[in-house]
Amino acid sequence: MVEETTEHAIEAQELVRQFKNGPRAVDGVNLYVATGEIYGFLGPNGAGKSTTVRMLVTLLPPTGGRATVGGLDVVRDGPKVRRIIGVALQEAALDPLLTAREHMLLQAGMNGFSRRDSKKRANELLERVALTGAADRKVGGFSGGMKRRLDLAMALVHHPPILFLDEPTTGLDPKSRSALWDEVARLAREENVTVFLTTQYLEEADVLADRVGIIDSGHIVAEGTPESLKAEIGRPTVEVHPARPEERDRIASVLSRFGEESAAPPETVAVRLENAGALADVVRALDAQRLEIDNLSLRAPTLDDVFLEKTGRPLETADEESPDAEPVLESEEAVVARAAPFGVSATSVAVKEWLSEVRGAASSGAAGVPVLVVQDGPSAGNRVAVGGRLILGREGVDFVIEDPEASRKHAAVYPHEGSVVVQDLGSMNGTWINGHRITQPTRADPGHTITIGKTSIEVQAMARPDGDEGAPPA
Amino acid sequence: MKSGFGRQFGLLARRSVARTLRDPGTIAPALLIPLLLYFVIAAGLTKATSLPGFPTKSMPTFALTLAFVNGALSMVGSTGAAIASDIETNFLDRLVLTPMRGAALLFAGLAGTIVLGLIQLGLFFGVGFAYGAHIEAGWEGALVIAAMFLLADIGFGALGLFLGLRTGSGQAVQGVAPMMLVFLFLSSVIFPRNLISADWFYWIATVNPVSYLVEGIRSVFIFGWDKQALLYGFIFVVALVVLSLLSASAALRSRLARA
Repeated sequence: MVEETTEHAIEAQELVRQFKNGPRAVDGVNLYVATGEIYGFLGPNGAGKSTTVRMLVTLLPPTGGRATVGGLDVVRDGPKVRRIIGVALQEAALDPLLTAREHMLLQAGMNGFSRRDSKKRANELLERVALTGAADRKVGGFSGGMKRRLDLAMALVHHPPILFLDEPTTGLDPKSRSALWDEVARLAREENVTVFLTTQYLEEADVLADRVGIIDSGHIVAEGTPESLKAEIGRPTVEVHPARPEERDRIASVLSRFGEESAAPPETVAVRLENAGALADVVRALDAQRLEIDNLSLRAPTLDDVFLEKTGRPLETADEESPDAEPVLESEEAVVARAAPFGVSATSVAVKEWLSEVRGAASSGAAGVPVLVVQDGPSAGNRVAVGGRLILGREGVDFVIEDPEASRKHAAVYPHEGSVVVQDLGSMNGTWINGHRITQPTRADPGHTITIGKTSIEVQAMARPDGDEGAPPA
Repeated sequence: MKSGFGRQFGLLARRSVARTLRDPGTIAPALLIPLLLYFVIAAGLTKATSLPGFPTKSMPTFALTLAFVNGALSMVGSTGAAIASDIETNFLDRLVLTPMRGAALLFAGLAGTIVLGLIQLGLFFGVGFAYGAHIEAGWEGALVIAAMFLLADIGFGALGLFLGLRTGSGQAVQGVAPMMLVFLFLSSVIFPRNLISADWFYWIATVNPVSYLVEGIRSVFIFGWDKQALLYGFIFVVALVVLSLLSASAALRSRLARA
C-alpha cells in the first residue's frame, strides 16, 4: 500500500500499462521511493521493470493508475518531470558516430548549459566515470562498460535529484560493475540523489538498495528492505551432499523429518528447516544413522528464496550471483557464525569437526575445484576457476570469451565434487556437453568439453581447491 | 536552465552534419551512385542525341540532370536511416528526455542533408563540366539549378524523416529507398517525354512528379530560361518540402506521444 506523504520522490498508485492486443505488462503497481533512497526494482526478464521505468520517466503514457515523480504528475507535468530526472535506459542510448565528449556537450547544451559550462561539466563527468582518455574517441568502438559509464555520465549532466537506472550493470565486467555501484552509492550518500534502479541481479539489489520491490508478471509480489524480506522467509536451508551416492535417499529420508525438500544441485539433498535451530539435531540424526557425507552447509534465506516463496519459481539468471548462495566449502568460522543466529552455537564443535573431515577430503584432491580452459577461438588458452556466471561474448561478465557467435549466451557454472555443473539460463541455445545438449543442470567431469556457439571449453581437474587458477582470464 | 530554439537547433544541426560526414553508408549512395549512373548514361547513350527531336547534341549535358535528381532522391534513404537509427538505439529517447523542441529536431535533422547537398552540387557540377557539360542559362542558371536541387534535397530528406519516424526501422527505410529509383526511371530522365513511344510509359512519366523536377533542371542546362518548366519544377519541390515536413512533424508527434 502506498503511504500518503509528500516526502516521496517517486510514487505510483495502481499503475497499469496495457499494450494493444497484448498483455498487461504492468498490472496495478503500487510503490513509493523516499527522497535520497536507493530503490531496487528486482525481477526476471519480461516482468515489467522497464515498462514501469518508461512510464515513470514519461516516455510511455500509463493506461491506468497514476504516478508522480518529485511530486509532479508524469502525465500532466511531463516536461517538468523530465527536468528533474536523469535516466540511463536499459540499452545505452548513444550515437556510435559521435565521440564521448560530443555526447556530453550535446547533452549539456540541450539542458541549457552555456558553452563554457558545458565544457566544464563534460570534463568533470568524463573524469568521474574514467573516460577522460577516451573522450575524443567515437563511442562505436567503446566496450559495453565504457558505454554504460558514458550513459550514466550523460544522465547526471544537469544535476538531477532523481535518477532512474534501468539494468545499469547488465553486460558489465565485475570491476566496472563494482565501480558503478560505488558511484551510485556515493550519489545517494553524498548528494542525496534518489535512485530508482531496476535489476535482475540479486546481488545488486542486496548490495545497493535500501529497499527492494520484487516484480513478477506486472505485479509487485514483495517489497521491503532486503533484510526484512529475507527475514519474512525466516527459515534457512541445509544442504547435504552424501559421500556415497547410494545413500542419498536415506539421507533425504532423515532430513525430511526437519522440513520440506527444496531445489538442490544433483546428488545433493536440500531441506528448508521448519525450525531454524534444528541444525544440531540434523547433524546428530545423520550421525546416529552412520551416514557419511561429503559436506554440509547451512544457507540463510536469499532474495531468490523470497522470489521462490512469492511466485513459486526461482528467479532465473540471478540466483548464481547471490552473495548468499555461497560455495559449499567455506571457513568453519563463517559457517558457525552464520549458523549462530539459528541457534546452533552450542553445536559449533560438532560442525567444526564435520567440516574438518570435509576439508581433509578436499585437500587430498577428492573435492578439488576444476577450471575451464578455452580450447579455440580468439580467447583460446584462457582459463578460470568456476563458481559464478559464465557469459560468452564481448560484453561478458566473470569469464569473457571473444566469440561473437556466442555473444550474450550465458550459463550458471558452479563447482561440484571435482567437476562442474552447467545450467542453461535460457538464452544459451546450442550449449552441449560431450555431445549432449543441456536442458537442465548437467554435470561436466574433468576431461569433458562444453561447446557454446563455436567455442569449446574443456573442464580440467585441479589438485587443490584454493589453487592459483582462479585468477581472471587474461 | 532552458535552452532556446536557436541553441538547440545549432547543437542538433552540428550533430547531424558530423554524423552525416562520418558515415560512409550515407556518403557513398549520395555521391558515387549518381556519378556512376551519369557516366553510364552519358557514355553509353551518345547515339541517342542523333534521334530526331532530341533536345541537345551534348549527352554529358543532357545526362547531368540524372546525377542531380538521383542525388536528391538518395536523401530519402540517408536521412531516414539516420533518424531510424536514433530510434533503434534509443538516442531519440535520450533527446526527448531533455527540454528538446520537436521543431529543432526536425530542422536540424535536415542540416546534414543540406551540407551533403552542397557537396553534391560542387561534385556534380565539377565532374559534369570536366566531362563536357555546359549550362545554357549561364552562371545565373547554375544558381537556379542549385536552388531547385537543394529544395529537392530538403524535400526528399524530410520524406526520409517521415519514413524513419513512422517505421522506426532503418531496414524499413532502406527497403523503401530503392523505390525512389523506380520513380526516377519511370520519369523523363533517360528520354525526353516527346521521345517516349510507349503510351503507358508516356502516361506514367507525365503523372510522375519527378519528371517535372527533371525537366525543370534540364531546361536550364539545355534551353536556357523555360519559364513553364521552371515553374512546374519549383511547384513540385516546394510542394514536396511542405508536404514532407508536415508529414514528418505529424510522425514525430505520434512517435513521441509523450506526456
